[in-house]
Amino acid sequence: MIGRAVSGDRKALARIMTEIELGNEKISESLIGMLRGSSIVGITGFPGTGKSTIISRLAMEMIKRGQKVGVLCIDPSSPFSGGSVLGDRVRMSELGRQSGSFIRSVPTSGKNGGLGYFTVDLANALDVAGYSTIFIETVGAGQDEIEIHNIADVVVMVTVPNLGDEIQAIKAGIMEVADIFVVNKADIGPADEKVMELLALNASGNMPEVIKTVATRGEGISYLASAIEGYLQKDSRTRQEMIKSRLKQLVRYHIEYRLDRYLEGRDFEAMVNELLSGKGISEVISQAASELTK
Amino acid sequence: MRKIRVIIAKPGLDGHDRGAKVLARSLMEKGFDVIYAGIRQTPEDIVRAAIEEDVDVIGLSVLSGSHLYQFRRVASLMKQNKIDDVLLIGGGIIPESDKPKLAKIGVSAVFGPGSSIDEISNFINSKCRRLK
Ligand SMILES: Nc1nc2c(ncn2[C@@H]2O[C@H](COP(=O)(O)OP(=O)(O)OP(=O)(O)O)[C@@H](O)[C@H]2O)c(=O)[nH]1
Ligand SMILES: [Mg+2]
Repeated sequence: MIGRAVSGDRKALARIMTEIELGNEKISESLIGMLRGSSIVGITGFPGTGKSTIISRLAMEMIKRGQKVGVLCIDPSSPFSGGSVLGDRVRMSELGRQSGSFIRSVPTSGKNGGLGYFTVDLANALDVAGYSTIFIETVGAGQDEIEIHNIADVVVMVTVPNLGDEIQAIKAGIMEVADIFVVNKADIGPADEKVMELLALNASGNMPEVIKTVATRGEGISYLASAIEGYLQKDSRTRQEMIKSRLKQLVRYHIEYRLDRYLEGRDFEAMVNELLSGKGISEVISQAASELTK
Repeated sequence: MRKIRVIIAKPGLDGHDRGAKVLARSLMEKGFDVIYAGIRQTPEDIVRAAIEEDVDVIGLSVLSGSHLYQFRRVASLMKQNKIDDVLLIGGGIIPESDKPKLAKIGVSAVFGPGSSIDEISNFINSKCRRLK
């Protein structure tokens, strides 16, 4: 199946991704040995700031520049029903018609942190299938979305004029993971003020580039594409090091996946009783630990 | 872990997608993963998205009166791409007299404006051929 995906069979690639999501570790493992080392571009930012619209335009620009582009759009699963509405594709109609694109929507399936458990495995599948630039759109929930930093080679943080005050911007976390800032929707508000605000907040000296865009009209997109390419070129890590850093996150996610499945719906009655009967904590949870590797 | 995946798209030229959005949202509440592809999708767009998203169900919402053409085209593209394990269903305002024709094309069910979400989700759950 992987062979067919490598030779351009979309259906085979899509099936591989489904197998990954079903927890087929054999597939995930096979992919690791075949990685080519595509560039991963993370796009994060609060809901509605224009992440999908930007990806759509940016990906078209990257295709023009000779890349094949894979996109993973992460959207949240409902904590109540477990279902989801994956709506990012709506902004990507034109991109979806290009021969050099592949778009896949991914639910978080209850995982926190703005990504899904199998995000790295899915990116690996795109990588092996020859997609040389991979965009990952995070959920955009805000503060705790720093995991994208461990996976992406460059993180673009999208904001808009009139959104949020300085307090949000100086809080730890989200602003620190950005390698490039985009002030999108420059047509609707004081974008220059927002740019100044972002620049002023940074006292450390190595301020990421701040770029104004109007994604709906494609303005600033080619400049942004060049900024991303420039950032990637400056990166002194070897391909192998880049791959390793995303595989570190893959390992963490697989542990997290098993742990969360283990914790799901458990009432811990037996463990509590053991605790009450005087057993040590390590002893009580050792059973759980052994179940994780079953 | 993996949910039944449904793509909801609106082929044709009319831009009213309130109904389709409400349906997407309701199916989410029933526990499905719903890929909302939006309005003005061509049959080619829809089938390609269905392949990439590896969906179990394609749901087309049609109001414009061009439903026979749209369904026929989607069904034939599905055949061309050897997609034989995906449920094709329809919604919107479709005259009773066209339903036999749609059935012949390969549309498994048509849900009019009066259909309840339970009816739709039960149908999908019972007919979905893939997945455990
Ligand atoms: N005026 C204006 N509107 C824009 C611009 N970019 C995007 N939009 C609109 O903003 C809305 C949200 O855009 P999306 O691309 O869906 O934003 P998003 O960040 O992906 O949204 P979520 O995935 O829901 O978090 C849409 O209606 C877009 O058409 C822009 O530059 N100017
Ligand atoms: Mg989006």
